[in-house]
Amino acid sequence: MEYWIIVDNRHAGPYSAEQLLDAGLTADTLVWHEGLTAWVRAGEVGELAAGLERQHMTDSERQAESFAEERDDVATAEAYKSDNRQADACVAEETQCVEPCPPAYIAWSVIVTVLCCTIIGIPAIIFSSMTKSAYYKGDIAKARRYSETAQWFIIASIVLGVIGVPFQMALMGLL
Amino acid sequence: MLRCPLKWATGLSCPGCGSQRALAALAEGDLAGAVRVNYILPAVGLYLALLGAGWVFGDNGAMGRLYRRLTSGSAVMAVGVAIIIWMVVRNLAGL
Repeated sequence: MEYWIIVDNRHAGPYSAEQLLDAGLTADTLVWHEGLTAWVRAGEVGELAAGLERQHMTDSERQAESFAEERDDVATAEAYKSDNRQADACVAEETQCVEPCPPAYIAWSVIVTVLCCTIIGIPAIIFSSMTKSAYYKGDIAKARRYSETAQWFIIASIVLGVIGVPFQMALMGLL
Repeated sequence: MLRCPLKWATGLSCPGCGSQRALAALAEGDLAGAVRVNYILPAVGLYLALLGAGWVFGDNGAMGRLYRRLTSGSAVMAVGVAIIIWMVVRNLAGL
């Protein structure tokens, strides 16, 4: 399974369980994988918790070095070690330091789909959904773009709906 | 009552067709009649009410967990799929 983690207030990933464990993952680091609805502590994820249990006695410094070899980048290991501490601080503050999700306009897109314009509302729902998925995967830039796209579909739907009303009235008068 | 432009143009019922009749029935206190003209409106209404409640009462506790679940990418996609399925079914079955 692929995991995303929060380090230094940023999302990073995807990593395999082996990569994370080799890099000295702590039980308090926040992780996410496909299917989860929120970030959870690594100690609460079955596969990672089992791995942490196994390497309970290993030296985290050495683990960080092996992470560097794997990534071919010594600086990464140094950054990762400090990131780990940051992530732990994050947990202490109830994850408030994580960047909030851009607005997904879920309620809006459902309302316009049902009430105004199905054809334009459905893409709005799809982009709302993709905003959330991208955010949980840690791709904030993509989430922002999807959020904006959803917004435009909603605006277009409402505008068409409002413009349509006089036309409908005229048509009903004629028909 | 205003006619749905999709219905007028294609003869197909959109997922929301019946909303005005449902409101009219509700105004007369006819709950069963309101549900009968559009079966997905109560479900969508409940979903939106829960979203609203989560938005008002914040991210804490059981309410927060429910809110995060309802706003996850897959849940939103499921709502969209349900609406499309409803549109197909109602046009095939004449609901």
